[in-house]
Amino acid sequence: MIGDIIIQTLLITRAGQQQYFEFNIPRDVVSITGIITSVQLIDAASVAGTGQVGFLQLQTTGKANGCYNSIVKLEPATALKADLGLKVYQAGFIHSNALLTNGLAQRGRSKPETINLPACNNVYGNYKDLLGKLLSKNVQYRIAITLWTKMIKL
Amino acid sequence: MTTALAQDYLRGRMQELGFGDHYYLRLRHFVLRPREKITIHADVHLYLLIHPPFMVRIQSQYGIYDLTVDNVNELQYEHQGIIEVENYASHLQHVQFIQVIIQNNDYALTRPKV
Repeated sequence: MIGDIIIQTLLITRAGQQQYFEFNIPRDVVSITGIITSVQLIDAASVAGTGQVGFLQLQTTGKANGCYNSIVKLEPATALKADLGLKVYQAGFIHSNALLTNGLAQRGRSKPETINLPACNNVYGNYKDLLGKLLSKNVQYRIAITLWTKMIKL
Repeated sequence: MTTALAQDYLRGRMQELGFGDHYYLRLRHFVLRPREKITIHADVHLYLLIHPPFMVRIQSQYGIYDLTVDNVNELQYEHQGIIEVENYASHLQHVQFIQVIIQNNDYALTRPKV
């Protein structure tokens, strides 16, 4: 049994924006086993509050209860920098830059959340912005949703 | 194209393509802001245009639907592959499709009968 990942990215630009999307699941996938959501803020000087960014819903075809709901949260980047206690060169990178530093800070979690969705032809998705609604202003960010799958080698 | 005609057309078309009844139908209603252009990735799907508005361009490898073009002699309602939908009007417009999702995953469960 081998695995693969499927990624979907969404660009959110307006407060309370709701975006529908779909994952096309390859025909040799036998189950969906993990999920990671990550947030990349594009136009947000400082974000405080609960860390809730949006509400994510996924639904698979062919089965009534094959679904997943979650609140997408912002990882506490500043806290993680201190928690890791690593400088850039300690982590194995000699030539540092801002992008790398931010990349390190935001990679606090590397293991996907375990889910168990059945094999399907499509996964329908719906994402609703909470952050912009909470702040009552348009916040621009990008959401990446990554699904881990198990597949049979055809 | 009316919804009833689209349904009838799709039934025959899917039979013709060899998929029989092994497909799901979904209504897709896209909301396009002025000058907005979206891309739909439909390599394993089929999109059938219903109630097409004016001043919208829908283009894929199957052809084009745009009431203002004069360099084609037929407009296409059926699209597949990478579909570009563009609203070139200065106002909000709606574009409706019937999406056909082909059941090509051998391991997927079929919806149990109630």
